[in-house]
Amino acid sequence: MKRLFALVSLAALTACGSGGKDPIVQAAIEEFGGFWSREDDTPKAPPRVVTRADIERADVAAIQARLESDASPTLMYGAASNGGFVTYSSALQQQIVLRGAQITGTRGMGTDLLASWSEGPDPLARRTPPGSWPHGVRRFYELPAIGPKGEVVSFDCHFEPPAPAEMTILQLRYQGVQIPEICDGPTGHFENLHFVDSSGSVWRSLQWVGPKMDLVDMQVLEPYTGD
Amino acid sequence: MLALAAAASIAPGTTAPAQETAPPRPSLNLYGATGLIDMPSAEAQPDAQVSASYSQFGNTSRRNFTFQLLPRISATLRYASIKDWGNSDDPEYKLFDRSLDVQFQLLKERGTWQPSVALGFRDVLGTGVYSAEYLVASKTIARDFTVTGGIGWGRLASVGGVTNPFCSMSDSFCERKIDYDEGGTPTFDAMFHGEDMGFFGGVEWRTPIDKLTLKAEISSDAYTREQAGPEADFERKSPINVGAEYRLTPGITLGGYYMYGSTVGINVVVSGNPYKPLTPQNLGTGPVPINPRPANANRSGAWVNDQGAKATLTEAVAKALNADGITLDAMSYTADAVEVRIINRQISQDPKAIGRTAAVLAAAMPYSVERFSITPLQNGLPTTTVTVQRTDLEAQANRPFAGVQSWETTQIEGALPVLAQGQSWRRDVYPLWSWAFIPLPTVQIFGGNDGFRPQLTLQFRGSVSLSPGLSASAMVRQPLLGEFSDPGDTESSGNLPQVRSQSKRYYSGWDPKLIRLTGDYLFKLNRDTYGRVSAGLLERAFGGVSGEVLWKPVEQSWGLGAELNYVAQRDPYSPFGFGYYDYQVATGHASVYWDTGWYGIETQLSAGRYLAGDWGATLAVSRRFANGWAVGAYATKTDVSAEDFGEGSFAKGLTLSIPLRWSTPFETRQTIDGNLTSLANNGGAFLNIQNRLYPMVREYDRNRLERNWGAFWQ
Repeated sequence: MKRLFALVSLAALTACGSGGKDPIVQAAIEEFGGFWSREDDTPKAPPRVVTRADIERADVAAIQARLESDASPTLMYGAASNGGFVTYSSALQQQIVLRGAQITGTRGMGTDLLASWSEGPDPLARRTPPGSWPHGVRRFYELPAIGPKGEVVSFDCHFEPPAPAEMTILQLRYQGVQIPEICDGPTGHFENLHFVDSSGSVWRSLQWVGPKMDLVDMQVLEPYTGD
Repeated sequence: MLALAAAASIAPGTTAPAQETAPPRPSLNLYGATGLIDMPSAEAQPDAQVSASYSQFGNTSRRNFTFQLLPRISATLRYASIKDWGNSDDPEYKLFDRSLDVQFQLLKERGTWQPSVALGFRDVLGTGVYSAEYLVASKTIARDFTVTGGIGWGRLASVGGVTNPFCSMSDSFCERKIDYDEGGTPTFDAMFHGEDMGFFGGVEWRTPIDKLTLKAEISSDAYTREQAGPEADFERKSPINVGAEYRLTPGITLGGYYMYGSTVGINVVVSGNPYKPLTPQNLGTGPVPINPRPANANRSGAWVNDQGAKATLTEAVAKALNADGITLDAMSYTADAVEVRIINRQISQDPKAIGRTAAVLAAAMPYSVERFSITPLQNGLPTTTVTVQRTDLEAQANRPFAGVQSWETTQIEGALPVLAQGQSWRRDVYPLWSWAFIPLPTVQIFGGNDGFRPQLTLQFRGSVSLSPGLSASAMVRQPLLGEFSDPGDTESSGNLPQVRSQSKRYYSGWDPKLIRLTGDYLFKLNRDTYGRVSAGLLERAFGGVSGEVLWKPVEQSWGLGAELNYVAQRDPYSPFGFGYYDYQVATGHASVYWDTGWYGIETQLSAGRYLAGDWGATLAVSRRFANGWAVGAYATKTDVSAEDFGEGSFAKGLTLSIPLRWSTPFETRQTIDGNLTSLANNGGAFLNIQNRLYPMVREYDRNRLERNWGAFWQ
């Protein structure tokens, strides 16, 4: 989720002050530092890969999420639960809010999704076995705008027939189905895709989070079991 | 089988962006206005679009600044230079000319038949070199193919026209005044006048080659005067212009043209829109997540008597806020309420800083605390107190329409001069240092006939706050590229003390320039009244003492202010000297500020005495956007005659402020400010005070906070 911009480095180099640095900017500068930093011959340790054992040891709800522009997914742990909305936070404090498996908010990832909700029973928000998924739902997205109220866009979404599928998520293999979701609205259309097991648990989901960030690929590593 | 992973990888190809493709932004002509090549069109730029362009052909070059003031009204300020203009004394005389255009779109293109129609006025305040009026229509008749046709007066009727139909109404319409003396006065007498009315038109084709547009037009401008100089080598052989434009990026367009049968032209356009930031505006860390208090939690207020716990608590809050670039200045608390005073060093939107603070308090404060009052300080000045109920925060966080709900349940009032309730505690954050180095491009555009002079300087700005409201600050600029030469003792075009016409002298040479060195004390008299006292080197050309009072209730869209200064003119060659000009003056104004609430338009009317000792009034109108962009214009009329004032007849100019945040993917409160004045004249000149009160507090009234309140949860 650490989006990088060459401009970051340029801006950070051309103007500096006492204001302090955003950790995400700092991370971007370090990644782009090769342009200006001197050669460092010291071999760097490869970044540590998160394992299933790490997740189980932490014993905290966890997801992995990736914007399409990101090279690799980011690990996020459950940090707060408020009325069914669970906030997952990365090490850089970027956040995704889930209601069940429905992404209802993002923070710090580029262009925030302020909120999202649905009309009608939503199998993403409430665990529903694949055979009982409704034909479709109407989805609403609240995006940043001028004033207290965000800009709300709506889409009529329908679920395509499920197709059997297998999926390995952080060393665990799951069997289930994948269900495409086609959404159309006055401002355009998009397609979500969900991997669901027979109990209705959504383990991986590709969800639209707004016109600028487009799709987030989210995998559930350790489901939230509270509330 | 990793079907989902595979599907994810192909998703961008199969998933259309959930946003309709917007029509392409209309292109600009060589006058900087929406149009063909040298002729205008009836299309309009997107609302608030700001463009700067440079064009050149033959012996003419133009620097244009265009702003779409409102969805149907645009204005272009131009600085043109025309080589070999010639006059009786100097055949090679190069003309530098300033002009202002205004265009009104009367009709928007609609349906199959209705074209867009616009009425335009060129050079309405200048010397009349480009004076023209036109009525033009444009229609997209096929996909990506737009046809434009129009009728014009003035320059746009200088070739191939017919008799001006207004001549049949009155003979006076057949005569067009072309001498505008000092310039700067409206050219109403000349509008739609002249013997002829001309016809112009053209086509624009946005080709299948991505970003490439082809244009062709027939011009009704004879360019008579440009060919009249004894040394002029430009020749208008044909009325036809053709060219191609390539939109390099959404904000940069390059154009090349063959013009008037004899010359090649170019056009470089850089364009941006306050509504369309260059970078993602929400990249960064998220807020502290809000967990609701457990229903059965212990809400005892006994902690309030535990000094050790409070010290730990306040330091923890301070540390958490500091991660977001917020300094905790002071805090007061009771068992069920807390007030914090914060300094937002970094976050561009104040409601976001307030929301972040509320989230930290929700995470950190004991369960008994129900009410959070948050007061942002600006240069030590307590602005507005925003009070939120913790129960509301917990109930609203992450929900749909949380922004509206929180706005409706938040209490906003003017901050008291001192912390009001409970036991106060002030962190030992003083002295508080703040500094920044920033490369600053400056352009001396309107320096009489000295031409267009860009310069790059390195600006250092530093300040130290010694206690709330009491600070010392300095600004130094070091030229890096583009030295201004010292004009020496020159005479201005008017008859006033040279308070501004010597500006170039103050910025000449490679030496570092001490722009400002002041001591300031800012304070509040009550919830609605603010005060300021400043002393020192107040600006590059003047030093002295300055005092100001502002009455601006938070709930009110308008305010009143008064300022009084006694200053002496600084020595341009000595950082601390005052003896060179031996000029002192008492200057000051009473001001009315009004935020109209309509398209973000804000007005300021000031009346009083100006730096040259002249008395008069200034009306400033600006359009201020929620993200901090502001584009404005001002005009000053004083008791000085046009002759005594000199070229330009009265003081006027444009102001532009761009938040750096708009172009950077990280939080910063820095802005890039520009002030385009029509001429370096001496009449109607204000003292350039840094810490004027209204600009400092206006972002904290109810209207402004509401515009950005969506950021509260971000």
